[in-house]
Amino acid sequence: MPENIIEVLNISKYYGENETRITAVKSISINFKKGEFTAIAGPSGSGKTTLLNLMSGLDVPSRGTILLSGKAISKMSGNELSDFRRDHIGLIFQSFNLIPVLTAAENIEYIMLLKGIDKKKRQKRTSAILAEVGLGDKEDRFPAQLSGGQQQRVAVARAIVSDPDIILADEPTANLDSATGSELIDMMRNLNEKTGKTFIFSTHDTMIMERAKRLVIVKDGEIAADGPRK
Amino acid sequence: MLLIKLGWRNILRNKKRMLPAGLAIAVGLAALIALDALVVGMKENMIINATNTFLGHGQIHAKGFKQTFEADNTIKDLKKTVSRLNSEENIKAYTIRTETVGMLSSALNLETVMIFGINPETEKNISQIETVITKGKFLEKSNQNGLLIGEKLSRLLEVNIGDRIVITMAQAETGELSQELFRVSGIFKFSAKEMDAKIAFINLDKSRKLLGIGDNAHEIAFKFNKLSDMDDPLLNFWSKYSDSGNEALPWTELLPGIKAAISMSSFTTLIMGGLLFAIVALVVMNTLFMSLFERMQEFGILRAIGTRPFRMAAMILTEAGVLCLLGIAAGIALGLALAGIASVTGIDYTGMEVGSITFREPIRPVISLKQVALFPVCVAVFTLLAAVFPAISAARLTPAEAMKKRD
Repeated sequence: MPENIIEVLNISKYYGENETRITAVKSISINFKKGEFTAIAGPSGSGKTTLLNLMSGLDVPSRGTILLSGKAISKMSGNELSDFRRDHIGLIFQSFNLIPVLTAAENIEYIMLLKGIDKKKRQKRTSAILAEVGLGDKEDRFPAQLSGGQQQRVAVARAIVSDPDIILADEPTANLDSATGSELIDMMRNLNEKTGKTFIFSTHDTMIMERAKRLVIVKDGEIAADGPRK
Repeated sequence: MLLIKLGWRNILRNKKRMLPAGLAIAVGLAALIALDALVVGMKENMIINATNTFLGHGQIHAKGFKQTFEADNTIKDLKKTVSRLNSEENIKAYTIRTETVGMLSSALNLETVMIFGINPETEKNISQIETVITKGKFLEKSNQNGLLIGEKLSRLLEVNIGDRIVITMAQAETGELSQELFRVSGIFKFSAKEMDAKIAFINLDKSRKLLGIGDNAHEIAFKFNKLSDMDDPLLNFWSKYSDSGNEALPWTELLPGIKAAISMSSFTTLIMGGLLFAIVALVVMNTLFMSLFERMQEFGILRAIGTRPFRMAAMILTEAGVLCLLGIAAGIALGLALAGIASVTGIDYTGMEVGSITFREPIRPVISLKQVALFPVCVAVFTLLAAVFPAISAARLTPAEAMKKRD
């Protein structure tokens, strides 16, 4: 039985105060196991991105606890949280969010630089991972010189380069056409099967939902459904 | 290295935003270099004018003479003092003078002036009287009744070359008046009001006779071999010759007004520098904040993927550092070019009086090591200090909040 890699224990997230208070996430408890390929789906404003942000430590829950590999992220200091994200979590965003002034290779190398990996190893690993995502010949291209699909592949490469335990992807196909989106999902599914990495997506893309091994439906900040995709 | 690359590329990324900040650094530094070069040039010009015109690098008098100008208060043991001066290695030249208040009467007018008795031969090595003669000629030992007066005084007395003037002065011991007829042998123009209207020169021997002071004198003006000696208050020379009732004073004490004017010009440079640096710092801070707000989402991503707060701050400081280096390089080049051109052409302030000194030559800015070493370091420190606030702001960003901001 695979171990729980993320344990979400009764978390809530509020924005604003008193009359203007909005509850984005309501007392959610959910676990994710190592190697899962999970889609968290739901309509816009349902709280799926907030849940993902809370699980990645980008945002702090108003109530409740999140354990990542057994460690409570709410008790971590700013630096600990930064190091934890760097070492254990790979993030993929809807609008790719590559650093525009760094080349594809440098965007990937940056994470390894934060980890203090020496230049030679960084360059070797970068070349290998770019080849793995099919961009071996695009190392020196800046993000603006790449298509949307290529940029998202670089983002995937950046997310997996530090060998994280979990990859959290916030609507990764939202800005891609369906063919490119499909290719990207296939690529991530292959990575999941080949490396056993845990992938968790927030999405309302049916294509991702169809290929997910587990589907979590979030509605009005609560989990409406959760189970293996049939 | 990647951090520097990132800083460099971010600077070049938005040239329209960064150019004004870079220019502010460059122009601020260039202005400061040029201003300081001008002030140093002006100081040197003032010192040269003050010391070369008539004063010398320093003077020896009997104690209290400069306060009362009493004719009988002559230099104590002049022969011994002169003999010691002759053996001084750092003395380039000296001249002996008498100095007294007297009255000059022409056929049409009379004026009370300061009358100096000078040795025409040795005076040439100290003062520039000979070079500012506009009519007639300099004093000669063979013509003991020759007299030099300023242009303005000649107009007041309504005299010209060869005209007769009677000099009246009080004798040292008795206070009896002594008179002698002189003929104007030369008219000078120092372009300084006081000197051109209130001074007259006669031969030393004649003045000694009129004053009845024998071989004594009131003043020894001298010049050092090393120019730095004249500004060195700790030089042993001053105490050595300030004994037995005499006092040796550097030019800075003989002309305190000029010393104050020079000190004030240094203070002005300091104030101007402070203001320029403050303006540059504000421009840089504003630019970095604009850059921070424009790239908020990008900073959020950097934080999200594991960049520590300290590294975020370092990133902003690196950008400021790169901007600063570019600005400083341009500023040094521009400043040196401005000061260099002005030092060749000179800036014409001739005829302008500051204190009791008149600029007689164009001011040539002087470039010094301080301007290209200390000023850029100060600019760098101010720029980096200005970047600290935006850097702290970047370090404090929470990833989720920052990522919500869109370009």
